[in-house]
Amino acid sequence: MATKSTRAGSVAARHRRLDARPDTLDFRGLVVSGYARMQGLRKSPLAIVMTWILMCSGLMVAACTPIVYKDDIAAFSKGVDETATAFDALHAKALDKYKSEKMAEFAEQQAVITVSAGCTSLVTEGRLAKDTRCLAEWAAFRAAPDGKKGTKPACVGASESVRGGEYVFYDLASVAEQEALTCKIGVKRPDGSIDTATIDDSEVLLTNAPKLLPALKGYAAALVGIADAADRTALLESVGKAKEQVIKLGTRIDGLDGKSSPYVSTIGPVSDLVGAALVAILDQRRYRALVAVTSGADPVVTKTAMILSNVAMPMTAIELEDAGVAYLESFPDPGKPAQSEDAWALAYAKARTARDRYLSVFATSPATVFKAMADAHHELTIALSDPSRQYEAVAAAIEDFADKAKAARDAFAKAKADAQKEK
Amino acid sequence: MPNTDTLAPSDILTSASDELGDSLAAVRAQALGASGDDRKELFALYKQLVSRQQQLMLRDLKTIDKDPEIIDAIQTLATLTQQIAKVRREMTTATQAIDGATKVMGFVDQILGLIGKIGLLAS
Repeated sequence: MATKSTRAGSVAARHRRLDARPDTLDFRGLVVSGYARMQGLRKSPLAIVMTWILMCSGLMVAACTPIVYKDDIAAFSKGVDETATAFDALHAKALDKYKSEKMAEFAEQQAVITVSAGCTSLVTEGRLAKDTRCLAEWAAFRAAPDGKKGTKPACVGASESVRGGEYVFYDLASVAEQEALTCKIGVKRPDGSIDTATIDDSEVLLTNAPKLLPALKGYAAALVGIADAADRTALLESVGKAKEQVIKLGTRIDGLDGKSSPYVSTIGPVSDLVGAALVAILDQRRYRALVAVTSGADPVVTKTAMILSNVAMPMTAIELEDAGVAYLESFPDPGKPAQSEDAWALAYAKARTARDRYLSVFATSPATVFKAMADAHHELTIALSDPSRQYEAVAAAIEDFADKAKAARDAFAKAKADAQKEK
Repeated sequence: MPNTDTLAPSDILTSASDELGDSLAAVRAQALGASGDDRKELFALYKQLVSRQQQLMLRDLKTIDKDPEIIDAIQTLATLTQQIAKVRREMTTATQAIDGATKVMGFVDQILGLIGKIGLLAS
């Protein structure tokens, strides 16, 4: 009993404190106070709705927003862009090297470049020529006067689409596809057949690794999108417009019977509160998704960066080999040493320049860029697990909810007072 | 012409690469110390060996590119991107739904206004 009375006394004391400082009411206090004040209004459906709204709003203040991580996400996104730029540049150079090596290999093997004898036959004596003839025959048939038309054109060898004489859009795309295959460049095998796979292969160095870049870019763009305030702003604008319309409609409906209800004035504040709760719920869902996805993605992003780093290394090594040869070649013939100070200085400068060029390949290697991108993502996951980062956002949300809930409560109290006056 | 680019690194290729490495080291040392025409010839030979080495490296690079982990990573990233996009759409869907409801309320308001004007509800 003693405990119960102490607790009741504590609640009463709290209510007194809250009542004494209405303007500095904290949100939890507001909910308690609002609920207590509504005890006497239980019979009113609006009071029950208000109570629920206030209770729910109490839960909403815990809502976190992904917007506070905008900068962390931007850092990762920048890392992805730098990774893509560095990798693409390296890949382009390696591909050039690969193509030139393949050309040298073909030349060394005295490979004969050739194409299938069937190439262009489709245009000269195949489908296109026969279809053209068929179209002309049908045009002539239609042009002939009635009674002298004779039999319909047979269009032997023409494609089905034109054979019947009906007007259809001519499908050149499928023809192009077929011709692209027939006219592939190849090298002649000893047995006279044509090997096109070798030429295809000489055009492509990497197939899969470059696909990691758009995958990373897509992921980064999705993260940027979820932390972007634009969607939230658009939703708030829509909520604002809806509120205006609800008030307008509510006022019109209220006025239909010629009598005005004081409760109409509560529509606006209640709409504000419901709108704010909706935004908070959706923000909270975004935040949760951001936490869940980034924590799951962190090892994948790190592994992707490591894969790119491992693919980039041999490409850098090939570049280094070329620069290394140039460096070694820059040294003067030891059998013909420099005879004067100037000649010696010139020989040294030449070797020094070649050395700098060789070492600069290491310096410009994108290895650090890949690691920086993975680190930026990891930093993001750390930031997401740091509750202090949400402090300001949560505080602002509490303030916003408190203001809106107070406005709703005040509007309701005023409406109730007005209703009692009318009675 | 046989397409040797489809070969995976085998013991033979590894051995070839090792032997090539030994040759490169030997020729490089000789070229740096040689003079006159010998030097030119040794450097030309060295370049040829480097070119062979690069061909082997490019072949290895193609094999590295075929690592199934790369495809796995691409697919995982795509899935994660879709998950994020799905949650992002919720807010735009809510915005569209509210806009739609606002429009409907606007129509209802106009209809009620007309009804009021012609006095249908007055009786």
